[in-house]
Amino acid sequence: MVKKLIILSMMLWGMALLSVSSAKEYMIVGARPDKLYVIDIKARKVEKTFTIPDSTAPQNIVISPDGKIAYVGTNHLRSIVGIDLESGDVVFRADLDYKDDERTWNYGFDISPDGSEIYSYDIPTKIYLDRFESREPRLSVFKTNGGLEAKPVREFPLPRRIHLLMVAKSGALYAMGWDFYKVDVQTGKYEVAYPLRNWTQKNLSQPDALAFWPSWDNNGIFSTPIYYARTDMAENNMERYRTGLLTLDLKTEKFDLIDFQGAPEILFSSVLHPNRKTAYAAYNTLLKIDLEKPHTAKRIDLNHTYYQTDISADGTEVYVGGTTCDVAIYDSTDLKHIGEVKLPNCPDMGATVLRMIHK
Amino acid sequence: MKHLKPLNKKAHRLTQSDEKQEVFAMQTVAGCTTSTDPGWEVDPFGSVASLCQPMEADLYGCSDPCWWPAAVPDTVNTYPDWSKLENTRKNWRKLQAVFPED
Repeated sequence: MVKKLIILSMMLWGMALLSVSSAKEYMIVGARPDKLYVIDIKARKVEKTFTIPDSTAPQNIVISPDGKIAYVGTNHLRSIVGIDLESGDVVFRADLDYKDDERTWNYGFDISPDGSEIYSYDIPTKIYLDRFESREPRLSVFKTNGGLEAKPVREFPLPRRIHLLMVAKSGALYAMGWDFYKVDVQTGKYEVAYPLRNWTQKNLSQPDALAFWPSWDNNGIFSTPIYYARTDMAENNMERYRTGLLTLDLKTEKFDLIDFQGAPEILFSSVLHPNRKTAYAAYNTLLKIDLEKPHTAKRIDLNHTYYQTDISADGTEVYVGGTTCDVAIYDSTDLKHIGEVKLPNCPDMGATVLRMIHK
Repeated sequence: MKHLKPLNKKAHRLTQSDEKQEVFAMQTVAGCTTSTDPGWEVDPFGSVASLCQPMEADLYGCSDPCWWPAAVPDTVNTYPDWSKLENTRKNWRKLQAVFPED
């Protein structure tokens, strides 16, 4: 009996491994004015193209935990539209400026671990004939089964200047702005989880970062390049100006700051290898960063500017995308260019993000 | 405000107004005409090597969130159709100037 159980459990384990290894990896990207693409990334091929109704400039994309729905921030940052990734049907829509005379601008949203709620950071402005009145930014919570005219089920005030939301495995919401906040999505209570503008790091100036890109799908960790100066070094010493990686592990909810080089270039985004020993960052250059002895191990020039860096689940391929109409693919070991995917008719991606899914 | 000098009628009226409210610098509001993002003509090092290359790669990434408030039309409120152009690297000559309507 024991022998049978062992054999059965081995068979089940084998089937589980088979299902993971047989799951195909796809990249989801948007492009102007109204397109959403499903890319078979290993085949270097656009597999599906969907048109998002009443849409201009898709930017943020959030995938449901089951990988079936892509929620796209679009319509000039004023709508969140849910697209079924098999059929292309619109299954969810929240137009954010539903209050009288308000023009609401969304800067970041994410989804709960069970896929039932969307958390959206909304910046409302009351538009008068002769002036604009900036109103209090808010966290709007939507039910994903809210249909095509979804309205928030909860609203809470949040600090200004937030631009990126991310949900940890525990369900806690993190919001990056001038500081990094942790938000209770039930009560709206928030606290500073990691101070940035108000940090008190010894001998470091106030930091600066431009973090719009979610590159945690295949590694479970948020990261962004971050810049600051060593105030204990002379102003004419170029080593005074530093580049680091700020990370938040979405499982353990621990932050880390890894100083890895001076500031010879601008970097917009970064991604950690799934093994957490290496990272990659891009903008006009693509960097391979050794995280164990933090330094830039390799740097190459890119063919043009790319905004977002991402990585395959097996860690073998690094992707850069956004801006124009191609995703460039590099070998993660030596940064050799090994492929590209061009979107049909070359539409501009602009600030749209890359997401990685498996199905 | 003591270092700023009003230059037009609206600015004069603003300095005379009793209803002065807090100004949220670098705060995104809805519409490029109100954005105080500076845009950039040189990179942080005073050069151009760290600007987006080519410019068209950055056109929509910057104009959509109003990063270039002076250089491109307000695509959020007044000219939402200005930027429906595809493949800007090929078609950038078709980008048009805009003029106020009566």
